[in-house]
Amino acid sequence: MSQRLPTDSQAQAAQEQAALASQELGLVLAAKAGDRVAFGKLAQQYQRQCAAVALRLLGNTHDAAELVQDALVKAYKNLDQLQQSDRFGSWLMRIVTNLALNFRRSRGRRQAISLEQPAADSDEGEDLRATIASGILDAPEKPLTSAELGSAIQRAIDGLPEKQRLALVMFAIEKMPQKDVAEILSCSVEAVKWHVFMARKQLRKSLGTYM
Amino acid sequence: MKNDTQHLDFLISQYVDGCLEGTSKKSVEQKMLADPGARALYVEHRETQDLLDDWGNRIPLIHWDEFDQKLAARLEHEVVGGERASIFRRWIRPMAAAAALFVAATLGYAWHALSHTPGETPERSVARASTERPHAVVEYPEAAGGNHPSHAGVVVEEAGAQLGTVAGGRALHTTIDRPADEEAAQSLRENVAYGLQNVADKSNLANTLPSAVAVGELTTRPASDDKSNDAAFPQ
Repeated sequence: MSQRLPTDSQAQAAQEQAALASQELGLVLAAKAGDRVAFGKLAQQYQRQCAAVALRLLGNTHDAAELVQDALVKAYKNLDQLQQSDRFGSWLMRIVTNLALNFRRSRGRRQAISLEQPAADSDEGEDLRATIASGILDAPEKPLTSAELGSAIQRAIDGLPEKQRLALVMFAIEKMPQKDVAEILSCSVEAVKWHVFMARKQLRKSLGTYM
Repeated sequence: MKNDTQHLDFLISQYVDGCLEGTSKKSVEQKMLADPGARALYVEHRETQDLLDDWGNRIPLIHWDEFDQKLAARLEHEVVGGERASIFRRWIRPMAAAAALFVAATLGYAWHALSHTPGETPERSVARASTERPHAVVEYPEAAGGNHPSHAGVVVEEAGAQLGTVAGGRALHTTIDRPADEEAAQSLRENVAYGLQNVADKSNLANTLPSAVAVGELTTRPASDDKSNDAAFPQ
């Protein structure tokens, strides 16, 4: 019946959050007005999270860094299209995920074309090919190294349906708020929960023998 | 039964994610206390999530200083490019449009001026008018001479058909009676020009012309034989 009153620490946290949000809004508005320094601060605030999400989606640090650069430049060029200035973070992350998905699609096409010619500059994400080729995944009794397990996880995530993959990466791994993830995926919060649930089930199925 | 299990599985997934509160959270906890199957589901989700947490803790090895510098350079480039584009949009493009209009207007004016140059030789006017109108009269004021009574004029014919007449008087007139083609009109013009240049007494041109020139199929004869034309010639 009685509504719980927030504790002092909760109230303080809420105040700090509101102050941060207000500060961010100020930066966004200044950036919209052409203040490049303000945009630089916003970029520094979000670039690590963007890079982390891009890395989970692409499996390659170099590509992830390039993609985040592209996303930030694109965001800067299109700031006037940001309707809700207080939603910069999720708007930027939507740009990152869209670019990442496009990149994956184009990379998929390139790989399909050059299936007979493995890339010489294979990166972390490509290590799985060698792992599979060496038969490590077929011999679960042999302990996987951290890098090999990482590659196996990346491979399992890559195999998920698009929305499950995005929901898992943004919510379950990068700990973004479900509301933001829902906004980025253009779906409900309940749908995000369901995507995460299904993704984790599928991931366990894929990695079961190595857990 | 399967649906119940899946629902419980879903709830446990949310429990692992910390998304359950209040009675839902207590309900799941009680279920896990009582049901080994529920505990097994919890362990599955927990292990998978722990693996993801561990994997997700790996920070991308990006040189952020280098990243920031590169980004700043790209943004600078975008700004400069944007300003250039803005200048282009604001100034150069309208100026180019204005220049294009100016060039078009100049060309149009030049064309118009050339078509109606005051110093243009009257013969050319004859030719042009002849292609545009079925009946054109062009005056040659410089050929104006005396008012010789015998100046009945000269009929210019082409293959037996009357193309025009050259009449003397106060002013020399050339009349093209039918739409002559450019070539025929040009011939007529040349005839008249020849006459103007070579006949000292312009007033006597009409009488001199027939024996002076013969160009192509054009023939001339004194208009005195054809009185019907005289009425058409302004004197």
